[in-house]
Amino acid sequence: MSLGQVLLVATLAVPAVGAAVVALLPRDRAARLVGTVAAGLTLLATLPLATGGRGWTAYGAAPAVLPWHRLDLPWVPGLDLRFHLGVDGISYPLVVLTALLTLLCCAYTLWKVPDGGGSGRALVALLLVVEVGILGTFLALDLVLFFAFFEVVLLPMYAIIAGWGGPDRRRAARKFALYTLLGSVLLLVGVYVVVAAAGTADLVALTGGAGLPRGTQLAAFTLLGLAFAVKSPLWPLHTWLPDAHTQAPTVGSVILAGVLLKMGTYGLIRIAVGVAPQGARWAAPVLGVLAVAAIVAGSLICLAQGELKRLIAYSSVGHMGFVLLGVATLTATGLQAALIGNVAHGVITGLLFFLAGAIKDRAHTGALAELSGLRETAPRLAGLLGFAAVASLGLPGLAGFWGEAFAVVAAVERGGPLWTTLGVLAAIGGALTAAYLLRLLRRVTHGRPSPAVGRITPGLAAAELTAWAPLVLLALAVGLAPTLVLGVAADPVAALVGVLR
Amino acid sequence: MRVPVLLLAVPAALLGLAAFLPPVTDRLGAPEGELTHVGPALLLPLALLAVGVALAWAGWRRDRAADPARALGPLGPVFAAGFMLDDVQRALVVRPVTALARLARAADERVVDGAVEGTGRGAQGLGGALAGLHRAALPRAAVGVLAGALLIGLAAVLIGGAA
Repeated sequence: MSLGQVLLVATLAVPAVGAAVVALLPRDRAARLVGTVAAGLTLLATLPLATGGRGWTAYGAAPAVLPWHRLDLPWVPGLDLRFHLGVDGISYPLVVLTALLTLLCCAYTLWKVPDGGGSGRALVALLLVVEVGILGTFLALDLVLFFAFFEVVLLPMYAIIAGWGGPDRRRAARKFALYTLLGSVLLLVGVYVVVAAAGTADLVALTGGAGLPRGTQLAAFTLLGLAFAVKSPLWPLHTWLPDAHTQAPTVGSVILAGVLLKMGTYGLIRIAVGVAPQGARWAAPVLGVLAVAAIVAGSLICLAQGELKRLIAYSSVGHMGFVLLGVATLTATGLQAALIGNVAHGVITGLLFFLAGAIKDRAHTGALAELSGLRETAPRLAGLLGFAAVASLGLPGLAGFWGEAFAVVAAVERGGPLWTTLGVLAAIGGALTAAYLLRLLRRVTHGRPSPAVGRITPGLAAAELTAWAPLVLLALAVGLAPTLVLGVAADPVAALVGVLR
Repeated sequence: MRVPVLLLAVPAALLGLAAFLPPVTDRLGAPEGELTHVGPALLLPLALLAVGVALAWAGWRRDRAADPARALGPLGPVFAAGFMLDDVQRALVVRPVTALARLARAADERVVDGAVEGTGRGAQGLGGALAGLHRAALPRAAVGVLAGALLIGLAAVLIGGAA
């Protein structure tokens, strides 16, 4: 086994073993510490994955997926299922983001276990199981394996919301689980259609269509596209998201918005577009129209929203709309915008949910009507909220800018009346995004302190700063040097666009 | 406070005139006549400005306590509000967008989410109804079983007869 293969296995095995150890340890605090160490080791295992062969040296045409490292073992020989992992420039930023956010959430749980009755030990174990599922989804190069990992995430996330959430958590958790299960059923049928028609589940062989007939590709893209649209979420299949976010504990919201939604957009790029390119071309206008509808509807709903976490949840609908618009253009610019938008949204919305959780924990309310004047009583918290909001609205120089701007650029570059109109509407949605985030800042930080805010003390815990600082730095780093993401993704995106033609 | 104000005010008032000095324009590399446009578009506003200053000064001389802008009459507030552009913007952009936002939120909660919740409630109701049928008392259950047997028998005869 090469070093890369060891790292691939370690990326999945360390959090899995960590979760088991955390669940078995009797002492709560020690268990949480072990879980945090496991999450840290996972991050350390993912970082060196970037070193590896990038070039294509063999003769013949380069395949559409060229992993830096891959591990291909028989899993269930009788059913011809393979345990096939790999990492390339499309998945690598998301893998690192997942490992980082899980580590930050575990460290945060070390300091504060959300109210609601469950033990901190169980929460950390569940976070690690969710991490295994998400990392496996990003690393899988076998359709059936992808589906299996995709499903691993569902129940632990349900338990996190139902065990440590707000007052209406059971209903929200049930809605989340049932709604995304609907998506999973469609995904299963889609995977079956593809595997049955192609006779293989190997994504490296399947990417580019693998000679699937046009009808099969259209059916497969419809099924897979709908499945990933539920997860992403794409308007109008988004209504599980605000309820889940409003009720989930802070760490649950961070993972949910930060990386869980990315499984949908990643799946759309890698599986749906990659496996059924003809279907993608056929459905691109519909996908584009829905994405722009998500941008505009999400922004408008945010503008009329009265609850802090619900507002940020709906802002995710708008931001993921930009990502999906980028995918729908099926151009290199659009796919790059989607990938960097994915990472930026994970960083910024993760930070926003951390801050919203901190404000809600202190003020004991999330209603915008009861929050005002935060900068008077907690200036540092208000300043961080301002930074995150400005990053989220896409100020140039911060991470949110690239994804939003280049999704619009890609739509206009695509040309034609439809795509130009979509680009213009998306730009208007970008202006509305700025409007609702500035409204949020005016409501929460400006003005005289409300009674709920007046009780807040200005101090921030060291654990909070530790959890937030990497996200603040990453939002700046990705904003100033987008090549951190775009550089590694350039070759795989070019290869993918090559097979789309 | 006086020194920084002076330092800023004097260049602010006079630096614009540097556009008429050839040494400066040469250093900037600007072509002849690019930086300055002395024409009606510049002189008319300047003349009007001078008239306004003179009128305001005359008004102030007549009554030092009163605001000279009162001479404008009903036009005063319009000028003070920048030709009411803020109000125009509020009426044309802000109000419609906030109304649309409220509508979008209501539609999202009632129609889009309502359809989802309705599907859930419908499935629950259907399940409850089916469960109720299965819990029927003995006579109705017996009728059900007999009806089922009849149906299966009919199907067997019809399909068997056809084959």
